[in-house]
Amino acid sequence: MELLIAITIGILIAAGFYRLLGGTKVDAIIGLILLSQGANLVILASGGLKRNAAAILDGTPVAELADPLPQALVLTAIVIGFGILAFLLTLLIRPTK
Amino acid sequence: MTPELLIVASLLLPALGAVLSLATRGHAAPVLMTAVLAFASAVALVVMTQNGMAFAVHAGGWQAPFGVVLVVDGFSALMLAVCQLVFIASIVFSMTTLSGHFRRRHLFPLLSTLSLGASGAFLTGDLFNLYVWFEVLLLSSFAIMAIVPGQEARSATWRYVVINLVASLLFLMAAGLIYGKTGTLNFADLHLRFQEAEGSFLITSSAALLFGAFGIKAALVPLAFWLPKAYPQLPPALSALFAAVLTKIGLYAFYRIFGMVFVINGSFPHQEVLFWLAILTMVAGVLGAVAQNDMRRILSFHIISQVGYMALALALFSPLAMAAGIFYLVHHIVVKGNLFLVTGLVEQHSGTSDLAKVSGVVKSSPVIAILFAIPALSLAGLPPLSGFFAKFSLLKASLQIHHGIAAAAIVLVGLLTIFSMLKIWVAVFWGEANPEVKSPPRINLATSAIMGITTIAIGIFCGYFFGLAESAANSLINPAAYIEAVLGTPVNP
Repeated sequence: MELLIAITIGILIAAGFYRLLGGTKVDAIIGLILLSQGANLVILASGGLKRNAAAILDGTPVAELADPLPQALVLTAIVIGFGILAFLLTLLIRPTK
Repeated sequence: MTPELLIVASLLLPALGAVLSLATRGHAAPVLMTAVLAFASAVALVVMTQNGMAFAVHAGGWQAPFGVVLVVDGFSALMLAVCQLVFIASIVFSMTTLSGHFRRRHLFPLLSTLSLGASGAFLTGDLFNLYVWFEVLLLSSFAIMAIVPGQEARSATWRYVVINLVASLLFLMAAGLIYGKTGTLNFADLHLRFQEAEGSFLITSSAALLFGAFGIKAALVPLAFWLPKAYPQLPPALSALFAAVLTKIGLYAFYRIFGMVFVINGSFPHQEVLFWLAILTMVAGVLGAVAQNDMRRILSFHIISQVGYMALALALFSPLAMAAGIFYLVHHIVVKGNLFLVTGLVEQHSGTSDLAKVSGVVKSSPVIAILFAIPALSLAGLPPLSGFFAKFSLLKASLQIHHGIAAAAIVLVGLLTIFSMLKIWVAVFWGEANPEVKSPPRINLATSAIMGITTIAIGIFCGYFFGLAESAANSLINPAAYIEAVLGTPVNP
C-alpha cells in the first residue's frame, strides 16, 4: 500500500512540475493543483497507512489505531489549497480593464 | 500584564484591526490603532525576555507536544517589535499617499491580516502552524499585490504568486516527512528527538525541502529572481512593508529551524551549501543593484544582497556570528523600510524615482536629502550608524573563526553597496533642481524621520541593542529556556 502511494506521489509531483513549466497560466494552475495533491498525499502517508482502522479510542490497542494527526493536517492543507485555487482562478479570469 | 496575555494580544490585536476595519468599510484608523497597541505589547515582550526567558501559551489547555503552542523568546520578541514599527510607518504612508483605488479594494484590512500572519509566524512553536501562518501572510500579500493596477504589475503578481505557492508546497511536504520520521511537529520536541537520535539522516532530506522553501521566501540567490520583478511594482508605502518584513520572515524561519531545531552537535544540515549560497547572494544582489537605474529597482536588488549577509551570519554559526546576524536583521528591517519610504518621498516630491529624470533634490528639499542619507549610509555600513556595527560584528565573527572568504565578501560587497548608494545620491540629490516640485505631507516626513532616529539610536545605544541580539542568539544556540517553557519540564543543557 505504501509503495503504491509513494509511486502515485512521484507521478503527481513529476506531472505537476512538468505542467508548471508549460508556460501558460492555465498550465501553471493545473501544475499547482497536481503538486498540492501530491503534497497532501505525502502528509496522509506520513502517519503510516492502516486498513480499516479508525482514530477512535474505544479499547482497541493504540498500535492498531490510525494516527489522527495526519488526517487533521491534510484536512487543513486541503482547505488552504482550495482557497488558494479559488484565488488563482480569480487572478486568471479578472478583466483587463 | 503577564507575558502570556501579551502573546495572545499580539495575535488578537491585528485580527481585531482587520475586523473593525472591514466593519467600517476599509477604514485605516482601527488598523493603525491596533498596530500601535501591538507594537507596545511587542516592546513589553522584548523587555520581559531580554534576560533569556521564554514564555509559552498552550492553546486550549492541551499540553505540548500534543497541542498548539505559542512561544515567545528573545528572538521572536525582537522581530515582532521591529516588524510592527515598520508596519505602523507603512500604514501612515498608505493613508496619505495611496488613492481611493486601494481603499476601495480593502487595502487596510489586508495590511492587518498581513501583520497577523507575520506575528503568528514569529510566535508559533509548531512546524505545521508555521506553514499555516505563512499562508495567512502570503494570501494577504497576494491580494495586496493583485490590487496594484497595470499590465506589468499583473505579470509580476502572477510570478510572485506561483513561485511562493511552490515554496509553500515544498514546506508542506517537508512538514509531512518530518512528522512521518519523528512523530512530532513541535519545535522543542523535534529538537530533543534529533539529539536523541544522534543521526542527521533523519533530517537531511526534509531539511533540503525546507531549505528550498525558505530560500524562495527569503530570496537566496538561485531562488531570488522573482523579487526584483515583483517589489518595484508596488507603491513605496507598500514595498517598504514587503521589503522590510516579508523576506525577513523567510530568514526568521531559517534562523529558527536551521539555527535551533535542526542543530545537532553544533552544526546543522546543509550548512556548507548555505554558506556558499549566502556569498553568491551577497555578490549577485549587489552587482544587480549596480546595474539598475531606478531607485525602486536598486533598492530591490539591495534586499537580495543584504539577505546574503544575514544568511552568511547563520552559516558561520558561532555565538558572535548569530548575535551579529540577529542585530543585522533588526537594523536591516528599519533601514530597508525607511529607504523605500524615502523613495516614496522623492516620488511625491519630483513625480518619479527614475535616476535619469530626478535631480537636485538637495537644493529643492534638504530635508528629504538628510532623510535619505541616514538609512543609505547605514545600509552601506558607515559609523556611527547601525549598519556599521552590524557589518563590523559580522566581520569580527568571520575573522574569529578564520574565515577569510567570508571576511573578503563582507568588505567587498560593502564597498559596492556604498558605490550604488552614491549613484542614487549623485543622480537624485545633486545637480540642477527641478522647478516643478511638490512638498510631501509633513506626517510622511515625520514618519521617515522617526525611522531615521531609530537607526541612529540603534547605532548610538549599540551596546544595549547588541546585548538584546546576543541574548536572542543565545536563546537559539542554547534553547533550554525555550524547551522548558514549551514542554514544562526542565532539561539538562
